[in-house]
Amino acid sequence: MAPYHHLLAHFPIALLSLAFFIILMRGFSSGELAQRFDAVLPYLLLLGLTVGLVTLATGLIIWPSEATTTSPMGRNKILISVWMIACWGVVLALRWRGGQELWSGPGRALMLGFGTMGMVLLATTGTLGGHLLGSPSRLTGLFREIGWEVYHTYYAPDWVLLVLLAVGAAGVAVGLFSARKPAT
Amino acid sequence: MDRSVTSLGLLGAALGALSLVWINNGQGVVGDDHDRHIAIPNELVMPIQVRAAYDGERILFQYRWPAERPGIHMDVYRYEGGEWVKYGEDIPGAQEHPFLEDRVAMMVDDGSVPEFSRYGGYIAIGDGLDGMTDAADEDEVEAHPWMGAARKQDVVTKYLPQTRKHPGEWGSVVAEERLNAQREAGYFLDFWHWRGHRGNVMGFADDQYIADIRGGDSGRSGWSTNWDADGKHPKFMYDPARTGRHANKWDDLVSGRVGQDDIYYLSPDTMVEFDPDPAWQEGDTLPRRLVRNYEGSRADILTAGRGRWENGFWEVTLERLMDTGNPLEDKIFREGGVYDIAMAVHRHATGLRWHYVSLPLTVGLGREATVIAERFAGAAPAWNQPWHTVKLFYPGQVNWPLLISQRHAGKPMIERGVPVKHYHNEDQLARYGIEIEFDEQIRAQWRLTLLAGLFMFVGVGFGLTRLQRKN
Repeated sequence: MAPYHHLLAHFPIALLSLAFFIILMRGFSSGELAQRFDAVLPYLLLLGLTVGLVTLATGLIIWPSEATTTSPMGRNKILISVWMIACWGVVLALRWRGGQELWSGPGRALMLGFGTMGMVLLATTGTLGGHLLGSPSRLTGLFREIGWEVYHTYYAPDWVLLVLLAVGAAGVAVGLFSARKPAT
Repeated sequence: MDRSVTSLGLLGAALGALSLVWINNGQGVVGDDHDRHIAIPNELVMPIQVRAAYDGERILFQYRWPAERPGIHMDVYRYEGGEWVKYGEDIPGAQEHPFLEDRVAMMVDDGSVPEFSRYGGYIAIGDGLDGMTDAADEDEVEAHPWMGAARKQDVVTKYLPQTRKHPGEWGSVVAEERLNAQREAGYFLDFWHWRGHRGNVMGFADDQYIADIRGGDSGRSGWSTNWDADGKHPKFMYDPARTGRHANKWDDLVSGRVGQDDIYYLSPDTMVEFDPDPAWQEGDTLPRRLVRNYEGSRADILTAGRGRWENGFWEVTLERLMDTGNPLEDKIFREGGVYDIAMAVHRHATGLRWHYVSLPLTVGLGREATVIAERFAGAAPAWNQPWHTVKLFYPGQVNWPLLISQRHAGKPMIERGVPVKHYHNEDQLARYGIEIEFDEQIRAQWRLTLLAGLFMFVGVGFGLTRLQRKN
């Protein structure tokens, strides 16, 4: 399965990187070219996410799950890949629901913020994949310098997990509250 | 609240939460746990320098490595409250006192153990080894017909995989005839083992091997135990006529005031039978080991002079006949040969598995290799060749049964004979060695982190999307 995973991995990297380029362009420009690119952004994101999910699935069956989840690098790859997909999912949902009008309000900052997060997670996923293939990049050296030794499993203490859950719960509450509140 | 503020607030909260994960990643699980024989050293890697020379009859290896202080003592008896109390047990990690000797060890093979050239000492770390969290029960080992009855072992030591029917079961030793055939075929590792107290004093390194156990070559070891069980006191003390004392003072040994050029050992030249009459004082300290000459095949390896510690570094030179005449116990070095070695260092009063090890490397005698032994003529080498520096790492609790199991993603690589250095480096192996000690806890925390992060993205995404829909 490994060769197919490597082959497939090119597609989400290319599609989501292009999507990020468009988000940057549209985030800082309201010109016609930027708007035309933005028109294809939802489809690009949808395609990138779909292939990304398939790539993630193929990655999970390269090795027995016991082996993947015993390896610190394997664990890191799974965690970052899942978060990456989730983050780009947020970007897609925002753009799909918000439409072109999204760029006129706070959506511009949201797209830039989550797009950048997604891109960082995408680059990290690729870097970890390089490690698993036996060809690490210098990006891991940068991670090490700023606080994450990639040979350690990426996990957080309980109190930080509570913060993550609280933020997620706040998001759910906002969503539910806004659904009940009449539009103004 | 204004939707813009809410939206940007959620974005900021998500970024802040992810930043918290980043800043606090890897915290809250890993730590010393002596009940499970776990102690994490402060430094995970250290350097050692090595070079070699030969003259056709003898081969010499010289090692140099950093150590904060010279570990020249082994366990001792200290007089306190009218009794002699033993100090220097093997414990997880470092002792609080200096009574555990420094050591440098080297495994050697001539190609007869092919896995060794690819995976080094990992192949000798089997199931149930002493000092591991899952160490075999001593009673079980003693009751084992081969390990206990025949080999007189009470713990499981390093062993080679094919000495067992199942490498992951320490008790599944193959038949004696098979072990003998393996030995005849060279399926063992030579083990050069310099000990800062039990060898260096008398000018020897312990000549050992690794096969079905880690054992000493035939002959006699270089120490015995200084304890009179009936009298509940040491058997020997310092000879006052020759050393000017009955015992050393604990404080002098701990502080280093009694150092490597002083009398800190009991040998035939420094000891007399214990005399209970002197007024023994609180803090009087006597070595628990009596050092003596090694004998037989076990005495093959000599120290060229004594190993010395100076300015923060040990320098030790070991010397052996290239052909000891004991091919069943020693690897024979020949002109034109290339040999596989792997080294290990104990320092800072550590024992058992709390050492630093190297990946395998090669030594060539007139052949290309990682370390090229220089040919010399005369009494001793000039040692003009440059040192070769090797990174040693703390290996944690990774064992061979794990590496060849489904739990190791590199199992197919091992089956294909891909060397460890092609996929791992020393820093990585040190960290993996620690993580495996906390595998269950880390796996659980990682899973929770993954799910909590996923929930955060989904929750924040849900909220923001709902806000956008109403715009």
